[in-house]
Parts: sequence; structure tokens; C-alpha cells
Amino acid sequence: MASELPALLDTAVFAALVLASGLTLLAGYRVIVGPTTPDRVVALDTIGTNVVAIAVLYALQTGEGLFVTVSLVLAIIGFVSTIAVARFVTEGDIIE
Amino acid sequence: MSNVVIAPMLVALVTAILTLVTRARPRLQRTVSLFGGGGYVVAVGVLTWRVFSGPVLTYQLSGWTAPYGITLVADQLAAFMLAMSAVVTIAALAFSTDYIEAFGQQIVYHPLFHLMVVGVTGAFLTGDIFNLFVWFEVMLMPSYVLVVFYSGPDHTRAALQYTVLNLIGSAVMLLAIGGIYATTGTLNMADLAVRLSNPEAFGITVGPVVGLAALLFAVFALKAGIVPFHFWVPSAYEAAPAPVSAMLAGVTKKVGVYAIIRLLFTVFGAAQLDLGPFGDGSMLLFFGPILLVMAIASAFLGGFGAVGQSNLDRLLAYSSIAQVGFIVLPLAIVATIPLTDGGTVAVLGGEFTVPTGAGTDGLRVLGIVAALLYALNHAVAKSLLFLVSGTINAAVGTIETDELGGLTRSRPYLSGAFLIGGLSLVGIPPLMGFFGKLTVFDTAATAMATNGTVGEIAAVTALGGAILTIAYVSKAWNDAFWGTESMAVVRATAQPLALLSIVVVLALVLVVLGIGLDPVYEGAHGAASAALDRGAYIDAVGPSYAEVQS
Amino acid sequence: MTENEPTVIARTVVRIVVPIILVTAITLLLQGHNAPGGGFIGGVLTAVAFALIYIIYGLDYFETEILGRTALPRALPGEPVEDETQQRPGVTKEFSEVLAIGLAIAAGGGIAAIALGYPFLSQAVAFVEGIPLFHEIEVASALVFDLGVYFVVVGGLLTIVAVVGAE
Repeated sequence: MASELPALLDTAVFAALVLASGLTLLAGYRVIVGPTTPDRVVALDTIGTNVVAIAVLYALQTGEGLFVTVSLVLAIIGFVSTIAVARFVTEGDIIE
Repeated sequence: MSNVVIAPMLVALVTAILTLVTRARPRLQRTVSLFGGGGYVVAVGVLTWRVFSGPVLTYQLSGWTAPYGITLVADQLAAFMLAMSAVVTIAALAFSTDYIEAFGQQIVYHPLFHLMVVGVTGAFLTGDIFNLFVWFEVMLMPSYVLVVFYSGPDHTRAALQYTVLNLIGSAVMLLAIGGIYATTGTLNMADLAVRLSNPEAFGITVGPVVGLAALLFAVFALKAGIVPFHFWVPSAYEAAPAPVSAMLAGVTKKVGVYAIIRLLFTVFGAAQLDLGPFGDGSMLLFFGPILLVMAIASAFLGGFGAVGQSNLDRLLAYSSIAQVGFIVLPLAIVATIPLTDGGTVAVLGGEFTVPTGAGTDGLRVLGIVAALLYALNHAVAKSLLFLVSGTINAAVGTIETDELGGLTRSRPYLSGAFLIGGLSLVGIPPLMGFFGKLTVFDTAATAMATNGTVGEIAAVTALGGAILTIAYVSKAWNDAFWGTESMAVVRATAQPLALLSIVVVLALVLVVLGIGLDPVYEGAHGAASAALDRGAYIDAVGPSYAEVQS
Repeated sequence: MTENEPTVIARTVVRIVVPIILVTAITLLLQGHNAPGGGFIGGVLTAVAFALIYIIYGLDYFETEILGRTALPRALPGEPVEDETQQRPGVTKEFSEVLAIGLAIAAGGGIAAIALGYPFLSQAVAFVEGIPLFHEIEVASALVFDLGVYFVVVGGLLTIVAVVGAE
């Protein structure tokens, strides 16, 4: 259904996909290099957000509603993992 | 379509659920578990009887026809393996009700045990390679927990190694299955055999399947514990409780062996292609030499490893590496030698033809018969020995051979059971093991007539392996059972009568199997013929190509 | 609760987010038989919602405030205990019962097909019409299996979270 999108929007979606993918790679560099744990956590969180964005953009491009569901689930799990990691970093324990 | 095919699996599954529900009442749970085990044996018995007295039975889950749905196939090979595992299962289950401490049994032991049986049953019955992966997982997940059951540091380390290795194996297996689906467009084993032998009709290339089949083969070798994929075996068997070790050695290892026979001989062997240095013909030719090298390495590495062990469980674990070498040795011999009279049979109402699996000289059948008889011997004898080791642990409190000694005086029946198991491993008539070894040697001797080198190498390996078996069995016997009674043995007063009776019954089974070999041999012969009878297998499953051809 | 209580922001956000997650989970469960979703992912999201409560409010909150029981004092791992129930949070037992019930539902749904004379795991679908608001509802028997899977996943994951979280 990509053909139903106006040409401009199609280009914009494509550009955004490239941008988000590039950002994911850059964040991946930060995950590997570190140097501190919070750096890595923030980078992983960024990757999570970017993947959600990619899923939504891909849903726009292909017209498949399935990917919106995927992004929804990813966003929920990303949110909870962020909270869990934040608890771990600040207190050293997730559940008490 | 008959519910008898799915009955063993359902009995085990329902038992697992019931034992989970009745956890609050340990006595009831134990009774349910034992009755479930008995029901499983009955279900397997009925299925075996039906399969051996009639045609191949199939079952299409939820009524979707092959190759689109999940097919269960009960042919004589599957029935033979199921009957073998049922014997070990009921013995190990009865043993564990007395052996595992009450609290452990109550928490998770029984549900996990029965779930493992569900996985084993499914793996034997399935006719679909993705489904085979699923049943492997169902079988492995409970086994991870059962290996770490005692949860000490050593157990955890062993279980972690076991778990990680098997998870890697599962990932590789999934990868290979995905590749096979991408290459051939099917996951149904019968359909796969048809497609691989008629590549032009389906527009597929067979070449990549060799590599993917090799990946699958490596995974099965990992599950079966064949060198070089054997390193998880000793620590896992030592860490697991004795009845679980008996199940791992007697049953789950045989699932790996079964998968090798089923997939290499029934399915992938149907592919005909030019394999370069391996020759031109069935895909089996590629696996023959590899399997031969692995079998030789297993027989010797396992044997030498076992001689040096002072812990009874570790010794048995190394011994089981060596014995699996013996099981796959005849398979390797017959896979190496090309079929001289490889004709074709028409399947699916004459629509397609597939190469026959068995030649007229009967060598291939003989090789698989040898592997199956030896597998049966190993399943019963090795689980017997592990249960003896567990009984010693329960009675004396140690299984280090340095601390044992003179058990023959105070515990003659236990020692007798060990002796029978040990002698069967060595291969002394009239025990089961003698006939296993005999058919292995027979295969090697017959092969010498066709292909001298392979036959000779195999015969030397079998001989060397047999000598090593004598060495480690007599070492264990001398150290633990003969000689003067050690302090630990003298002080031990526990008389685990229930455990002892199970062990003695299993030893009797081994003797009976040897004396009354005829029906067992007939069964193994039927199973081996079924493994090679691609025509009957494919026609029973009957994949329909209506959509493909329109 | 330790000296570092979660902030008001975290507590308030969790109060709003948990119902949303649960609604998503149930939606995925109900549409699972013919659309993306199903028992597994529904169960995972439900377990995630409970895990969120555990993370922010602590292990005892679920028992004391939501189930309205008194939480038993827990022994640390390795400490000798007189009573087995003290070893782990009391609610763990219920979680594993949920698992058993789920397994029974999933298997029972398959066996029911045999009892009706169809192969194991056969499924059927019915369309119920004339229901206010929805107009037409699709009732699929596959939902029974999905429901079983859902309970297995919820029970299994929550047992793990509760036991590991307690250590």
C-alpha cells in the first residue's frame, strides 16, 4: 500500500527510516564503548526507542497494522526495562 | 487415523498435569505418578503391538493433511524405540519414588519427569522436522532442571554447561531447519524425502541441503553425546540424581540416535547427488566417513576416559560415550558402503519415485539391526548400572570407588545386579549385550567382503572398544565390589529394599532379553527395515500435492 | 521498603500505565487466534505489568494491598526455616497453581476434540450475531488453547519474578 502514500510522505518516511537506523548504530557504538554503566543504559534505551520508531515507520511504509502492535509491545517492555535498570543503578536491587 | 498413536503422549502429558495439581498431597501425587507411568507403558505396549502386527500408523494433528499439518508417524522403528524407552522410564520412575527425598519429589520432580517423557515420546513419533525441534525442547527443558536438582555448586556448574551447550545446539538446529525449509519448501519428513529424490519436479537444488543436514547431524550428535560433542556428558550425569542419569543415558541419548537413523537413512539418504571426493550417489555417503571417525573416537576416548575414573557415576558416563560409539559404528559402516543395487520404488500412487533404502544384500538392514540391538542393550544395562550406583549411594552414602570395597559380602543381590549389567556391557552370552556385540561384529565382517578397509577399521575399533569395556568394568568391579570391606561399607546399615528390588527386576529383564532374543531380534529387524522402507513411510504419511501442481 | 522510596512520579505513572498494559495484553490474547498476538505475548505483557508493580511498590504490596492478606515474614536464602511456607513469598504457591491450571486448560482443550471424535487439537469457529455494540462476535475454540498458554506464561513468569525477586 506504499503507493497510496503521497510521494513527499513516502520520501520522508524513507529518510526517517534511514535516520533512525543510523542513530541505532551510533547508539550501538556507545553501548560497546561505554565507558560507564549509565552510558550503556541510556544508549540501550535509545536503541529501544529507535526500534519502536522504526517499527512505526515500517508500518507506515508497508501499510501493515501488525507492526503498530509490535511497536506497542516493544514500547511497553522498553519502558519497564528502563525502570528496572534505573532501580538497579540507583539502588543495586530491582525488587525488594 | 487412530488415537492409539497419540495415546502415549497424552497419557504422559495428563500425568504431568495431574502430578502438578496434586502437589499438596505427596502420597496421592506419588500414586498418580506411578499409575501414569504404568499407563504410559500400557499405551506404548498397545501401540507397539498394533504397529508390529499391521501397517504404519499415522495421525494428522487437528486434521490438517500432510504436508501442511503436523503429522505423527508410528512405524516399527518408532515403536521399537518407544518400547525401549518405556522399560527404562517405568524403572527409573519407580526408583525415584523411593530415592528422591520427599520434599524434592513434591516440588517439581514428578511433573518434570513426565514432561520429559512427553518430549521423548513426541520426538520418536513426529514426522515433521520442526516438530522434532519442538519435542527436543520439551524433552530438554525439564532435563535442565532435573540435572541441577541437587542445586549444589558443582551441580549448578554442570547444569549450566549442559544447558548452554544444548541451547547452542537448539539454536543451530533451528537455523538448519530454517535453511532446509528455505531450500526445499517443506518440513514434513516424508515430503522432504520425495522432494529430495525428485528435485527437478519441485524446482529445488539439493546441494545446500548437504550442509544443512550436516548441521542437523551435529546437533543430534550433541544430544547423543558422540565425540567431539561429548564433553557435557560426564559432569551432567554425575550431577543428576541416579534415576535421572538413567533416563538421560537410557532414553534421551537414544533420541539423538533415533534422529540420526530417521533423518539420515529415511530422509536425507533419498537425495542422490555428486558429492565430489565422497562419491556420487546417496547423501549417506557424505555422512558415512564422518560418522565412522566419530564412532571410533567415541569408542576409544570414552573407553580410556572410563578406565581412569574413581567415581562410579563418572565411570558410567564415560562408558556411555564409548557405548554410543558402538551404537553408531554399524550405522557408519553401512552408510559408507554404497548400495550396489539401488533401484527405485514408486510412491504416492506412482506419481513419484524414490530410491530404495535397503539393498538386496541386506547389509544396510543388518547395520541398523546391530545399532538398534546395541542401543537396547545400552539403554537397559546402563540405566541398570546407574540405578545400582544410586542404590549404593542410598545404602552406603558414597560412590567413590576408593571408599567402597567388598560389597559382594554384605550386599550380594546388589553386586549381582551390577555384575549382570557390567557383563552385558562387556558382551558375555547369554546376556543381551552379547547379541548386540555379535551383530556389530557381524556387520563389520560382512562389510569386509564389500569394502575391506572400512570393515577392517570397524572390526579393530569394535575389538579395541570391547577390550576397554572389559578393563573398566573389571576395574569398577574390583574396586567397589570385591576385596575387603571398606569402613564406609561396614558402617552402612541402610537396606533400601524397594530400590534393590527394582534393580534386581531390571537385571532380570536384561537376562530375559538375552535368552528370549528371538522376538527382540524380529522387532529390531522390523524396525531396521521400516527405517529403510521409504516407500511405505511416504505412502503412510501421503503428502498431497494438489496445490503444488495446479 | 528501604530508605530510597521510588519517587511520586514513578508511583503515579505506574498507577496509570499498569491498566493500559493489562488492556493491551487482553486485546492481544483475544485477537490471537487469527491476528498477531496470542496467549504467549498476552501472558508476557501481563507478567510485565505485575513485575512493574513489584519493582515500584515492592514484593509485599501485592499481597497486603491488592489481595488483602498479611504478608508472612520471609527468611533469607540459606537461613534455617521451621516452616516451609516462610521460604518464599506466600503468593508463589498461587502462581504455580495458575501454571498448572493453564496447562490443564490447554491440554484439556485438545483432548476435548478427541472426545468429540475429531483429531487432537482440532479447532472450530462460530460467529455469534446480533450482539449489541459488537454486532457480530467471532468465537474461536482456539481461544481455549490460547487461554491455557496465557495462564502458563503468567504463572511461570510470575513464579520466577517472585522467587528471584525475594532473593
